[in-house]
Amino acid sequence: MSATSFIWLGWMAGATATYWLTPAAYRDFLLIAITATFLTVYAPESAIILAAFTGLTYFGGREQRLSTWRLIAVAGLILSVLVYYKLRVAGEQFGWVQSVAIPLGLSYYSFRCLHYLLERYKGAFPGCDLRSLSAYLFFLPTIMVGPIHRFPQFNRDGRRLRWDTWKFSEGLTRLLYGYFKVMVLAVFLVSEQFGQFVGSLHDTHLWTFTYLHLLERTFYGYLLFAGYSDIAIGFALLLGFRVIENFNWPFIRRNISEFWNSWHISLSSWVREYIYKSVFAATRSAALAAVATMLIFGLWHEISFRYIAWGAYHGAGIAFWQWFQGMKSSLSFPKEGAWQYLWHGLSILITFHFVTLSFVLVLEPDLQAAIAVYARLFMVS
Amino acid sequence: METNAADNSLTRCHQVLEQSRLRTKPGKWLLEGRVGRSYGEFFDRAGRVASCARARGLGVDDRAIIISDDDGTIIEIFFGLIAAGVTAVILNPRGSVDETESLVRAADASLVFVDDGRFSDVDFATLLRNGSPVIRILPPAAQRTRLFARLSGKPNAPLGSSQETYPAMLSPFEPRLATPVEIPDTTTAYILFTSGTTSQPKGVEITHKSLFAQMDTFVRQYRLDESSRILNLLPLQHTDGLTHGAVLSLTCGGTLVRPMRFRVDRLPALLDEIYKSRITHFITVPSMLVLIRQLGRDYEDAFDSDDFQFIISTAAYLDAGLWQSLQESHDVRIVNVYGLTETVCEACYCGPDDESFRIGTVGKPVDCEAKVVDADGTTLAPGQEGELLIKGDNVMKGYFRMPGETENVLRDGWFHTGDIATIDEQGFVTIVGRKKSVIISGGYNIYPEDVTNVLMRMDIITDAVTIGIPDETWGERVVSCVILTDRDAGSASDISEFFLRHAAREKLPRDIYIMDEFPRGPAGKVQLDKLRHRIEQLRQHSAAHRDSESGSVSSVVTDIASSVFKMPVSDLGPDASPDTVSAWNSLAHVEFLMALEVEFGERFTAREIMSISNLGQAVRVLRDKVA
Repeated sequence: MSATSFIWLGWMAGATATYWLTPAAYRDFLLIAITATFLTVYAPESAIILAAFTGLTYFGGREQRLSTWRLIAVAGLILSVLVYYKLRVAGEQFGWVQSVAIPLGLSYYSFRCLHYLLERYKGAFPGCDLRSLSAYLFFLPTIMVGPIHRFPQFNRDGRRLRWDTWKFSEGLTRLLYGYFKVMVLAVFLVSEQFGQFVGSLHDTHLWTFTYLHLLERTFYGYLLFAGYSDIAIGFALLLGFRVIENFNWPFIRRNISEFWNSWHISLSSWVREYIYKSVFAATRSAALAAVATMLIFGLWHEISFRYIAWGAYHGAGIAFWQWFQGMKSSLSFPKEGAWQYLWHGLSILITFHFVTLSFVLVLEPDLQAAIAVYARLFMVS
Repeated sequence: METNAADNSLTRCHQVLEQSRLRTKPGKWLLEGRVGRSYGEFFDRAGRVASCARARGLGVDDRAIIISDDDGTIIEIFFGLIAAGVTAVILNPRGSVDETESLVRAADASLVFVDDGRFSDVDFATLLRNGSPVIRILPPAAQRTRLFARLSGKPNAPLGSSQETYPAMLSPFEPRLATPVEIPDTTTAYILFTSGTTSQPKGVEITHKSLFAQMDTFVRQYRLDESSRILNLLPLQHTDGLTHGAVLSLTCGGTLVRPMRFRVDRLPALLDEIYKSRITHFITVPSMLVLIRQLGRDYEDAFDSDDFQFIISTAAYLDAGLWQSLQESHDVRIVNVYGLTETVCEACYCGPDDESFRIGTVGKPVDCEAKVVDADGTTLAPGQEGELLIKGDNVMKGYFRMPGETENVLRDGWFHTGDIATIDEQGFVTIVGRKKSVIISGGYNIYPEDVTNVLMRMDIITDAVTIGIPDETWGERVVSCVILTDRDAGSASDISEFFLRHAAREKLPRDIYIMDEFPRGPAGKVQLDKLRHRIEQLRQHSAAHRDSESGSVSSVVTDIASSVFKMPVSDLGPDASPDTVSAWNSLAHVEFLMALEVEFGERFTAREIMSISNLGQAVRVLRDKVA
């Protein structure tokens, strides 16, 4: 189901209306029931898995101080299910925003469960009751396309929950932004209008076509995903919850580290918090931690060679940036006056193209096709 | 004849009851979590209590005691009693048996309401006037079976039949203010005891006139009305809980919110309640403000709500640094007020208006006069230090049956507060010290003599002295020094255990030092200054090791963070994190951790690395490792 479909709009409207008409004491039960019904209707397999994960996370994370072995056992079980489904669909082709071929929302809610367990392991907060955890995991707005929101903030919003007209209005505005990004900007402007123009260049200006086609697909993907995130964030606001943002002007960042702080933030901050720190703890190598983190980031999307290549590409990019940070002090650049604007602009341009070029790996059907695009772009063919 | 709201002859408490009866705006007067008590229910119960009290022949010059853990019940009975002209005496439900017996005896009451099962060892009948009856209060859950009551068509009818249980005893009575009762406004509305365990407990008598004069001041000063929602968790046996909370909310027609019994670990939930329940006024003590500051930046938005007006800090000295920093970090105004049980509750108000607001002071007197006098009683010029005196309708009638004590503090209508203060030319009052020996810890007034008296009752203690020493969180902490019959006769924990059996927990000394002797002057009197100095030495000695370690860990961690994140040390507090420090990216994070490992010669585990997400956590983890 698409986040811009009429059916989803109906679910959002129905859930929001019944939610505020229900007495406060029963609202979280109601939302859990609505989410469970939604999943049962559209993805019964996912409903069963989510219920099982909720129980597993609750009972697994109930220990006063979660032991390493218990964490490994429970998290391992959740990961195994995720990997199983990802492997089952390995090799199939997907568009920008997918996850429909695996149980709906599995990639998101499994990472939410892991987040809860890892925070309990860290001792960041005392365990909660089954009701609060279920309310967190069965949260309809984020069930389909994230964001991977966090338990402490969600729980606090639940404790502070009240009707706020301004928040509701902000939610409606975000929904509008989301629909605008998807329908007008991504679909109409970028994909249809700009796409048509780019298509017309295919036979006459192959390099320009290849380059602009890459930009077209990059912006399309960004606007689509950012729009879906806006819809999820807006829906959450309609229910009185503020969930983590997913994008923050990612294409005007000066380096790859900044980019990853502003692109798919709910996932990038997740892997930074749990993968980067764990690998660093084991290896004491920032470069290895960066590569491992980006590999996991890639594999979260899809278990395939192209995503491994994509993850390795970004991991290597971050490792290079880390090395360059150390080098930078020994290099002498002119930094006064207009120079600083020049460096700033150049940094953004380089970062943008580094990121855009990486999308070739995941947008092309296989590695050979990707290499062919690179060859055309760098005029080596 | 039934009275009505327009009748000017109504006493003020009758007006409050009538206002509750005639209220058309929906709303509860008390919200306790998800349970609320309606104004209608309040009128019903309090009205019946008044009728019942009069039917039992009680009126002006009679006293009735209330000992309960249920706030709603206390206030229903309180209003019912004072509406009948009876003086209400509220005692601590968690007091010790000794204390309670002593206070019940001192109150010379004709009736006692006590929670069923509470103080079952106390033979109240022998302590009351003429063996008067004891009414047992049933727990709220047992007071009414809502479903049954609704089915029977009597949603407000109390169940049960016994005349000695509350609320069953109310069944025969109508919730009407039938037959106007002549209650002169000089009648004592209530008595609160300000010291408990001595043989002569001191009960502050507050008249109807004083109580409602204070309410009028509160309503005007705090801009309260029917839409006000007051959060106040202070106990009802203290004036800051009783008058500054429950009576106030009923008087202004607003809602008192008491969502939980306070525990430090519930503070985040309490602060979330401010937003959720649309609190307008938060009445609390400075210790709570210290704890709020300690929660850090995660809760800086606690008061960021359109409804919220200001915090009211009461009952103890508010440190100017805490006041300023919390106002800035949480973007909230803190109104500091000053008063005593003897002035109903408050006399001076620093804020909320700008004209009376100056940090570091207690503002200006409102609806009363204040002056500062020297030892001879001569009024001092602005800026000079002397004892603060208060005069006004809010000043007490006197100490119950203690003319001598009353005479000492109440002369020509001026109440001698025992506090040393200055008043400047603009009229701002600043409290600079205290003449009395009372210790104010966490908002509770504790008299050192009371604590010492309890300690002296323990066989193994031959001498004891109690003092208050400054404490960052609680304002002051109660510290007792004791001399034992034999150095090994008992431990500090034995003494604490004994103490808790004989006095309320809030009076328990936080530190007990067993000494061989006390420093004494030529006349044999204990030299408190020297004793204080010795305690300070003992505290420093025991804390020296810990402090030196934690202090050095903290400064080294901050130095390293400063160099890695290229930030001045002054900008790096314990809350500094990747969210607040722009250079704290994932690479800088690992550099920081590795620099810490090298500096301290320690290796972090995976769990430790994952748990470090701000400077304070880094210090804590390292402190544990170094230890």
